[in-house]
Amino acid sequence: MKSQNKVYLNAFSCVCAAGLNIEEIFETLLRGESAITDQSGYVDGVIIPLGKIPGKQDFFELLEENVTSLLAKTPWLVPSETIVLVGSSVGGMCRAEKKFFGEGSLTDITVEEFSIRSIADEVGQKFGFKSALSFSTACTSSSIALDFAYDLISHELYKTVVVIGADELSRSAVNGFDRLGIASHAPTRPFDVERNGINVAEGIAVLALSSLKTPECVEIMGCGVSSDAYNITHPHPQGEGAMAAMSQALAAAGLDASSIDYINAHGTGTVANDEIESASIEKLFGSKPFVISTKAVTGHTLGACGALEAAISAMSILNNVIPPCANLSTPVNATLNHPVEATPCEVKYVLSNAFGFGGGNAAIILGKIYAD
Amino acid sequence: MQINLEILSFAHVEDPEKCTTLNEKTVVSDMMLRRRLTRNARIALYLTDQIGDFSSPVVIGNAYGEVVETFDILRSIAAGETVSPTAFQNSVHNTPASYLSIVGQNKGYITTVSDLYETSASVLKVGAVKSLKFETLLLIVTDSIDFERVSDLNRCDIALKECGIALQVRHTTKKPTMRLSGKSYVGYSPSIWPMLEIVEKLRETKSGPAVIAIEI
Repeated sequence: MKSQNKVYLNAFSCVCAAGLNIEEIFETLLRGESAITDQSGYVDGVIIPLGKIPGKQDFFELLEENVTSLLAKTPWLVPSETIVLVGSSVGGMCRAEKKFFGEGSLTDITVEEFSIRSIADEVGQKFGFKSALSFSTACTSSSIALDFAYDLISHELYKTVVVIGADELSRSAVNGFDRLGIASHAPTRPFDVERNGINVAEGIAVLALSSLKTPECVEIMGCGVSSDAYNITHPHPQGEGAMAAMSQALAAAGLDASSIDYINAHGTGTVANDEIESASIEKLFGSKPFVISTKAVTGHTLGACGALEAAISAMSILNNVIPPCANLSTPVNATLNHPVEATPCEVKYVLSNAFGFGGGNAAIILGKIYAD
Repeated sequence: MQINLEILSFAHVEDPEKCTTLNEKTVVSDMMLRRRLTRNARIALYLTDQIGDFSSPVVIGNAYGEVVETFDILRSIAAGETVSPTAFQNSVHNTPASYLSIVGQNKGYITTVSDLYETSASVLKVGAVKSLKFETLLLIVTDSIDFERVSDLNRCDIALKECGIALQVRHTTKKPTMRLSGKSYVGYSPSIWPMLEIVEKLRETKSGPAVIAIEI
């Protein structure tokens, strides 16, 4: 079946350490101001910098607030005709941690409360969406949800789709990344020669996609998804999987690499990712596009990052400005064009990457819509 | 809207406690890699090997994730011990997908859905939509809930602690030859039911193509 419908990203509502809404988050990004704060209570006896949502209430209440906010921006979106696609790495894991660390048992919690599906169920019941489906592919989770949303709309299977990327800071994840030796104990420095790891973070991004061209929307031009087939935690050393995903996205969008103005890199700040992603970008795109990572400001929001960074990329297109690559002094790859301050320019096409544990890769291209 | 899938091949494995005939040494020759496999990964690899297709795009579902590794992390933190890096890297829901990719050198589309009791229904939906793009797909659902605190959580009387089903499918315009009735299977995790019903109907099918309509 040939793709027919164009796919638009119409509206979004987001929260993360860098701000309580997308406008605040984008302003923080433009200032290049890290929102990472030192936190205790995650790794025993260690203070570790994390991307924690300021003054956070219950995570699921925040989720509901963001869905409510999105629906207020999209009065044309009918929940009973809309599917919700969730991308999450940990789901309701923090609820299980709270019970287990508090009571030493899981008898007083149901699997419905802490599974990945818990996010879709909470939102589905509260807002009456037609159906829901949850992807859990580590840090590519919500990018994979966006790819599927693109299929549903382009094949005319749904007119409207809500994509939710959501992950809460869990002790399991923070301890795990710390034990793997890839959690930085200082604010992360993506693409810098001195980088030494990620700042684990939390975030929620709720996106409305549809076949309707509305004011202030961008087009999802195409997506690419690939697997490294190499290692559970280490990316393919030649970046084969990353390049395959980016190439597929370009092909799906019908664009040449030279068309891309700005690459929102995965840019985790780990030694391996940034070196390999830099080399992959250089091979495919040369030195022309601006390349940034938002994770120095927001931290790495794990399964939420694909949706959150798609919203950030859309903000760049809509506002014609590219945030700086914060905390960057000496780039690992001097060929790439990393802006060190907010750069006003015409942003027509953005490619946004997400790579994850297990060697999953996803790339999404967003494009500006010009008046007919 | 419906999308019709032709089922080309299937495989099924289950055990009340632990599947013991998963042919790991044949399927994964690298001993170090084999030792690291999770239970869900072992089941998924066995099913894929039974079908003999390590190259098609894959949609894999598991309802509960990697419970052994996840609980190991929780227990370590509660005890003030350090978390095992291997347990952590194997605790993500897409662990079986990753091992399928590595063992089969499959560099294409491999994704993981996790929708608790709706998991195999979601696998079928994602597979149906992706069949519009890919020639053939492998749809897999696995559940392994054999961990020490399973009695804390098992409130729907799941008797089979390990179960896995794989279907090799492709998009078709042929008319459906089977319909799902939404049948329940006592002792099985509800996450498995729709794909288990397909397997049951496939075993009853005498000849001709097996086609099922998936409501998206």
